[in-house]
Amino acid sequence: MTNYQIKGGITGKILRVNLSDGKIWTEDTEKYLDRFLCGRTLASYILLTQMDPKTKWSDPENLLIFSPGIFNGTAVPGASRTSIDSINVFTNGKGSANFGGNVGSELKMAGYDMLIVTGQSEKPVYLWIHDKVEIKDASSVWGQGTLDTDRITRNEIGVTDAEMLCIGPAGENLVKAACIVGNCGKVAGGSGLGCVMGAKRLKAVVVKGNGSVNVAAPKEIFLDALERIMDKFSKHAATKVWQEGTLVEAVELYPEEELNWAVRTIVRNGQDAYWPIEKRKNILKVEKYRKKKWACSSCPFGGLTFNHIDEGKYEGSTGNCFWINSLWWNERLDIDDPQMAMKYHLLLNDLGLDGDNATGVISWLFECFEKGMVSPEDVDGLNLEWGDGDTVFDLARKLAYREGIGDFLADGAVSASRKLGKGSEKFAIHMKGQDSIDPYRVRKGWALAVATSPVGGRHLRGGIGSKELFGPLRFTEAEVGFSVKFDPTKYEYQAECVVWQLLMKEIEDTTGLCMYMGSYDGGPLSPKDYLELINLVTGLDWSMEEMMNFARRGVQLEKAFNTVRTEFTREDDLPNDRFFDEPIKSGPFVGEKLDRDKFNWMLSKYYELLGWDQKSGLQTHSCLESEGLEDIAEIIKKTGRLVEK
Amino acid sequence: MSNIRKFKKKHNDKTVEIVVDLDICHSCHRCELMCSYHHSGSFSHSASSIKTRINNFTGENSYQILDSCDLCNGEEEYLCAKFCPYGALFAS
Repeated sequence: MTNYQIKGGITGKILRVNLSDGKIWTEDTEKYLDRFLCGRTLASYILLTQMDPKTKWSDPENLLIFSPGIFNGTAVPGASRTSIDSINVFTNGKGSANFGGNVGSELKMAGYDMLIVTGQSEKPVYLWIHDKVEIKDASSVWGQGTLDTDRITRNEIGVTDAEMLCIGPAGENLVKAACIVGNCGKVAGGSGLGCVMGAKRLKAVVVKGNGSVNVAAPKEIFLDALERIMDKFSKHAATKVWQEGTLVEAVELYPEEELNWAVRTIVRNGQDAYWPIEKRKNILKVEKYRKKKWACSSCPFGGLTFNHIDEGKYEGSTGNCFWINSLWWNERLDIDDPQMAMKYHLLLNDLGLDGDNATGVISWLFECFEKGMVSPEDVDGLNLEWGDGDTVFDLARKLAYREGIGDFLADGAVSASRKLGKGSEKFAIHMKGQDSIDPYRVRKGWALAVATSPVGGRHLRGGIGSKELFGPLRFTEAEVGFSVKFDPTKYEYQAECVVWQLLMKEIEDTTGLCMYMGSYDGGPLSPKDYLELINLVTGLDWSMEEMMNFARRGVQLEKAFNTVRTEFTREDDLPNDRFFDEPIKSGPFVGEKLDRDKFNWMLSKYYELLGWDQKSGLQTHSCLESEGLEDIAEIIKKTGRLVEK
Repeated sequence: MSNIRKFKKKHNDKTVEIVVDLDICHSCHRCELMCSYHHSGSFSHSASSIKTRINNFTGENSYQILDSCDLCNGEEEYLCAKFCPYGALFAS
């Protein structure tokens, strides 16, 4: 197996902190460069090899890993992302959430390729990483929302240009929907990683980097590459629209019949999958509260917005957000008031709640109420009517503080439905135990990606959609290495595209490159661009095949983490029965639902492409051997869940 | 109200006005990074003549060009302006 000679893109040091005894130390990144670079792939390897499989998410021994990629800190467009990896609080398997902003780049400039936190502090603390690393008392911000936490902490340390991430009350109160918020509005959501920070009593991480990041290529060659790459963005149709608006407006560029919004929709906890166009158009009036556009580090699109509601009953609400996810949350709750939609987003960010997870469990409760399974007395006197934003806000607050019905919901819909019974388990929409708000019925590849995601019901491990926006079809055969016929509403060729997208995301999360630059939602960069940039930044001389093999290794690591820590089998890669049994009730796809046999056919193809056993869905010895992961095969073998083929 | 900042910079016998439109600027820090690349051959805040910040509570951004700006001495073009993805920065 290879031993990578990295000449740029890494700082050479990994920062490790034990909050139990206050020990702070570093280790050399080089020891991991035999098969891994930095980013999520290395985080997956460390979690798998340095933690007992019996460790639970709330145990002090749980590792919480913050990983910028090899591009962070450089001026590569979109090199802003940081992967946060740990144990998933819903599934006990792989937890992984990814966010943009500037924290990752700042950590690199502070001299660290990665931050690994273990232990559990007796009292609330935050980490202050600058020319030295300090564990600071967080008592002044414990209990505060994420906005005040940011404001107070900056004042305390007296460094206004530091970058930071933090948790809100939800994370402190160990609510499983808790996220981690960076830059007052860039959210690392899913897997309940805010909850992991809460368990460690780690309120925030603040970073100011005074060092530098090098690239391997000579200056004139790197400048030439950056110029060519930037030219692609200049010529890209969506760039200007996105710069002035948001991703939502960029998507609106495409015609309705191109299967964009109509296939993304999921309404009233998944009872339907069509939201009238006029409702969507109405909610887009949220634009009037957008007062400024920001960008993550080196991003040419600029997806972050600063918002201020300057009218009506929510007047005075302020904050940053990345807007597109709001559409799903509001469709699911049938809220079409733009002011409510904006308020909901800002409230969730301040409470430190992931919108997908929180909306999942809240919409489940709404459906229980609609079906008469719970009464107003059961839900603290609230009247749960679809579209009533104020009631949703009350529930979000109760959830974050575990008050009344909020405590009942705090472990997610699966747990709550088991407590409630009455058949409510059937519409606790989840994958592998984590609330999932994705649409499954129309886009078959999207459904496959979400259902098989190692992090449980999220779409960023292979989600592919319409022709124009996602996946390999926007590129030539020479650029992606294969040719497929692709219709998102059919089952054929979906597995191939999902695996391709899965591999692209692995590369993006190792480099720190935002997926919107290339593989996702229509960005102009192709896999060949990714490859060129990796080689220029690191000094490697990878071929396309080597890059894709690297990505495959990362995919196997996430799967292996789940295999050794959970009982997941093929059954856990199947969507909820609702999507097989209940057809769409309205709109252009009325009558559409998943076909069980065809979905299983697609799933088998997916396993085949990744070298996994078709019957169990588990990894085979030969697939791990061929990826250079014999040591991982040995770890799985000890659990009796390695398929000897 | 105009949100344009003008910086008159001199290096050797050359004087240039650098104009930044803060309404268009997204504070992506790209100019800052390219500036440090010019000065030091690596990417950093510390070697950069440009300091750009956002205020998450007011929605305002600030922009500074320090005296260490040497008008990209030795480069073919002004790297800050050339690599701004938003067209927020011009040098004349």
